Amino acid sequence: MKLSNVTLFSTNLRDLKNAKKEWSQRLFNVPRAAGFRALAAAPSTVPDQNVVGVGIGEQIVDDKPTGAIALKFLVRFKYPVHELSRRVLLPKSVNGLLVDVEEVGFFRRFVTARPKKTVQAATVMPDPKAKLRPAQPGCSIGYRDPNNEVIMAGTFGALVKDNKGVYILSNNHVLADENRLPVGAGIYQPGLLDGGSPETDQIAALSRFIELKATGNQVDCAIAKAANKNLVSADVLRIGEPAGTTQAAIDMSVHKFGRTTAYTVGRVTSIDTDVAVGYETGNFTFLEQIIIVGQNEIPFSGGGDSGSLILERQTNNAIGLLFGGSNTHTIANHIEAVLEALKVNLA
Amino acid sequence: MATEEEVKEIKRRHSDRLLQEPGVCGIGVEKDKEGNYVLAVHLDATHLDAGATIPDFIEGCPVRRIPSGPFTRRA
Repeated sequence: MKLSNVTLFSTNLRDLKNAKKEWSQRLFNVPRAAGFRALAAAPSTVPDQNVVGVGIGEQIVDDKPTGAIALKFLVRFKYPVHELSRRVLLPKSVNGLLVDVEEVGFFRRFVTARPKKTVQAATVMPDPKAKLRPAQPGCSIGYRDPNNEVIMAGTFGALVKDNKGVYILSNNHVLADENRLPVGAGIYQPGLLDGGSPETDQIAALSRFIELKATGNQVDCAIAKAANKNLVSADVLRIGEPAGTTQAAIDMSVHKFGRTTAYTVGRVTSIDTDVAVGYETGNFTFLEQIIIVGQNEIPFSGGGDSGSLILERQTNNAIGLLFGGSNTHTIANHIEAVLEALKVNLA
Repeated sequence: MATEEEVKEIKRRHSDRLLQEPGVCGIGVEKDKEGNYVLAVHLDATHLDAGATIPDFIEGCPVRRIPSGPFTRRA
C-alpha cells in the first residue's frame, strides 16, 4: 500500500477509529434475550447477529486488496444485496468513510470433549459434528482404535472415485491411524469423539493409504470406500460441490469447512515449503507443501480439521488437503499430488 | 531480486541442512511485503534458540524468520 499524504492518513485513521467505536457499540451492545447463545449458530441477516466484528483494514474487491483503507464489517455470511431488506442493510459509507463488508465465516472454540447434542442448531446451520446422511465433506469422521485407548475425529475432505466405486478422501492419520490400521477397517460418521457409534454409524471401510515415512513425504492421505453410494455426497458443507482442481498460488484467497473450526477463510502464503510435522508415531518431513494463514489473523484451522478440502474462493476449485499446522499457520498437501498418489478423481 | 524459480532452487539446495538446525520446522518460498521472493524459515516459537544459527542471507537471497511452529497433525 502506498500513502502519499501522512497528515491526511492520520486524520482519516482517527475518523475510522471513531466510526469503528461507534458501530461496535451499536452492534455489540444490543440487549439480547436469554438463550441467544444457544442459537448463535443460526445464520441471520440481522446485523447484530451476522456481524462478528468491526475493524479497520484494507478494502477487498473480488478477493483482491485495493490499497484503500476502509471501515470493515466482518460477517458470518455475505448475502447478495438483493436478498436483503433495507432494514438489515449495512451502510455503504459512514461519515464519508469507505465501508467494506468481508465474510469471515462462523467460528467456534476448539473443543476436544464430547459435546452435548444440539438438535436445534443442526437443523439451521451445518453442524460438522452431527450425524449426517448422506455424509457430506466437511463433517466429522474417524476410525475406531482397535485397543479402545483413544477416541478421535477428523474431517471428511471430499468424495472421490475410480472405476471401482466412490470413496471418502481424508488424511492417512484420520482414516488409517498413521499406517497402523488394516485395509477394511471401519470408518464412522460422526467420528467416535463426536458421539458416533461403532454399531450404527459405519459408512465406509479403509481402502488405500499412502504410507507415511520419516522423510520425503508429499502427501498424508487415504481413502475409504463408501458402504453405499447413497450414504455420501460430494457437496462440501456450506461451500457446495468442488468445481474441479487447480494449482494453488501465493496470495490466493481460499476457504474450507472442517469438523472443528467449520467455515474459515484464508490466504496462501507459500506453495513450496518443506516442513517437519509432529505425529503420534514421530516427526515426519513433507516436501513442497502449501502454507495458509487465516484472514484477519483468525486461525484457518484447529485440531480435528485434518482432512478438510481447501478450495479457491473465487472458483471453488480444490487446491489442497489440510493435514497439519499450528495456531497461526495451516499446512496442506497439493490436491493434484493427493489424487495422483491415490489414483482417484473428484467424484 | 531473485525470481521465484531461483529462490526455489536455493531452497532445494539448503532445505535438508536447515531443517536439522535447532528450532527450524519449515523452509519455504514466500513473498515479502514488497512482493519480492524470499526464503521463509519457519521457527518453533517455543524454542529459545530457534533460528540463532540461520544467516540473514543465503546465496544472496534474503531470509525471513517466521515464529510459526511447532507444527503438528490436525486431528
